[in-house]
Amino acid sequence: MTSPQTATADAPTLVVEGVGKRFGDRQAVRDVSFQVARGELLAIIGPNGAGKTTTLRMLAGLLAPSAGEVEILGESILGVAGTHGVHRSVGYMPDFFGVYEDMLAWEYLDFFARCHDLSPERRDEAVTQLLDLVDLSAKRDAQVDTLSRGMKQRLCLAQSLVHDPAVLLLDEPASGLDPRARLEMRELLRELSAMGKTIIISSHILSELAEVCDGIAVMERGELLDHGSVEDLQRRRRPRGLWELTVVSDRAQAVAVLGSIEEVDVVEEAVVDAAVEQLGASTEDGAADSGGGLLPLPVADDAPESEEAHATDDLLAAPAAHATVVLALDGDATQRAAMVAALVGAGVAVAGLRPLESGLEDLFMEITRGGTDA
Amino acid sequence: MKRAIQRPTLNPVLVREMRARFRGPRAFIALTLFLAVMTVVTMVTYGIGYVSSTARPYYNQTDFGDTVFTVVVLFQGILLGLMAPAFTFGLLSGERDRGTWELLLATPLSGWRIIAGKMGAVTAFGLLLMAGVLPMLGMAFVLGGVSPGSVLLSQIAILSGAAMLAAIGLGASAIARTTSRAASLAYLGAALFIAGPFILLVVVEMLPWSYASNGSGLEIFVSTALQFSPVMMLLTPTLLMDYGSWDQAQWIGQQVLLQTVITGWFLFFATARVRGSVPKRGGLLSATLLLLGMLSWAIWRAAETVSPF
Ligand SMILES: Nc1ncnc2c1ncn2[C@@H]1O[C@H](COP(=O)(O)OP(=O)(O)OP(=O)(O)O)[C@@H](O)[C@H]1O
Ligand SMILES: [Mg+2]
Repeated sequence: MTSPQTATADAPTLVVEGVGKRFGDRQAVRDVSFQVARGELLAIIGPNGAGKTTTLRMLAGLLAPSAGEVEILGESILGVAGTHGVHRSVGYMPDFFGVYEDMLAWEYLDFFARCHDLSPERRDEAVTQLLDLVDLSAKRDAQVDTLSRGMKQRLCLAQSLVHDPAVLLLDEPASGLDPRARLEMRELLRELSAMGKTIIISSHILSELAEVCDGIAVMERGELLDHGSVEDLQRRRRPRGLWELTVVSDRAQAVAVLGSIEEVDVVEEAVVDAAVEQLGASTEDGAADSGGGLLPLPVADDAPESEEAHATDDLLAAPAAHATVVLALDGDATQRAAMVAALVGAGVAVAGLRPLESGLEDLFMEITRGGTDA
Repeated sequence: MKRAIQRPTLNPVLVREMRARFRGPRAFIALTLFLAVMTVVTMVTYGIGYVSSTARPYYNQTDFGDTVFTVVVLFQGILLGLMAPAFTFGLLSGERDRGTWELLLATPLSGWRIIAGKMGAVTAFGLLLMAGVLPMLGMAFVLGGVSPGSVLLSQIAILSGAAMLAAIGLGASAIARTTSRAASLAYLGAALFIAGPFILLVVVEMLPWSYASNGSGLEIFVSTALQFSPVMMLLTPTLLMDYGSWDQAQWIGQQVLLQTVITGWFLFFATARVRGSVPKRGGLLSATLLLLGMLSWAIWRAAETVSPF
């Protein structure tokens, strides 16, 4: 059977509307809504316990949602007893899966092809093509349990494709793979996406998928926090972007001025890379200083002193010709101009202000705010 | 690997289970052990019978055939009864342990086809074991004193009893998360069905008024409850020989039917559990209905007062 990818080109392949799942008194997923178009690759990103697996299982028709509705190719998958229909248009690869240990690789695929009622000719064809696609043709007659983890993962991916589904749901397909295998998996996803498959992937790691996915859905504690393209998310978060301020004067003074501006936070955690980490640490001390007074005196009364603190205090004590401060700024150009004006007004020599390209992981951290499910 | 099979396609689960069950040494070893024990038991019984028949000239060969029949059925029933839950308790939970369960459920296979495929393979193996005993039953038959009807009835009784124990194992497999839990649950359930009616019997015997009321409705009620115990499959030869014949055959027929109903309930329950969990209330309700059905059968029989005891 050909997959029913006949819905009009612009109609979304998958529509999720207000879906929720409750296990006893635990709300695992709450009011999740998004749409995915044909050929689009959506990455669901979230920490452990965010509800990614639960969401995917509901989309795969393996778990009945307690609320909301899922439509695949224009048909609701709810209310259908057993939701068998959905299994014909959806391929699913669970996060933890096993294999039938006494089967050969081709038998494994052949078995699932039979389960999908493929005719014998279609079956043979599918098995050969899929083994080729996932680069396992050489392992055709290998016992499945002798395959390496990465090979098993690819075999399982092939299994989910055996009936040529329109939608692919992959739960952490790259977990446990070495860097090279991850790269190959990414290439495979790109290929599938180009074939017109609508793909949803869950992952903990955003940066890994950023370049292959068209959209990102960030989940935490069962809620969809944000949803859109990588650029969308970055733009949306930009008002609270990271900026690097360069001053040609005493940094402590600049920090003191910044501390008095409501929209500005001298950054403490969202560190971008090693070089900036250094800056982040110093600004932290700068902030402590600003509380103590305008003079960059070693802090003696409060805060248990670490060696690191001493080191940075020494650095601070020597007025630098150029100093940089990483800060987070709420608001747009107006706020930015006001901040610069305030600095200049206080006699701080502002040499530069540039946006820091925030890394994807920072974006993720910023959206999720670090709350894990407890 | 072109295959000629066209639609309707063979149940893929059946094909896989058959392959898994018969490929490799496990099935072969189980079959060999089973037949070895049965052969030894038969030979020993025959030997003892032969010695006593030569020692006592009046010992007649008819009894001899009866004895072989009785002992063969006894051991066949015990072995199959012990093995039956083990055939099934891993069927569903094993897929869960292995991590293949969700893969299977993500296919359009219906719960019914999954169960049918799995139970089909178990049945095939069970029938193979049953067939292995036929020569020994034939020996009893040749020795005389055993009617073909009795042999047939005994095999049907064993089949229904073992099927019931296998179905209980399947039910356990459907609700337990792991195979080890399924195993203990299966044997617990089997023990409950095996011993339950006997416990009821003992309790009733201890009641102060039950001695006086021998053959009363109460006692018939209890003996009817025994029809639900798979242990009864061991006793077909004894029942048929020690008491009349037609009533006993009828009684065994009822036992087969009742046990088949229970088997059906467990199969249905497991099938319903495969796709979408059965709501707790639904499962409990249907189990209660089953128990009530069993109870009313026993009560109705007690009112009828027909019992082989
Ligand atoms: N069958 C279940 N019964 C009860 N609670 C469950 C069940 N499945 C999931 N949960 C709960 O739902 C929440 C979400 O779990 P889920 O597995 O969807 O998270 P996840 O985002 O996939 O996490 P991970 O990154 O660890 O895979 C968790 O709090 C989990 O404990
Ligand atoms: Mg998960």
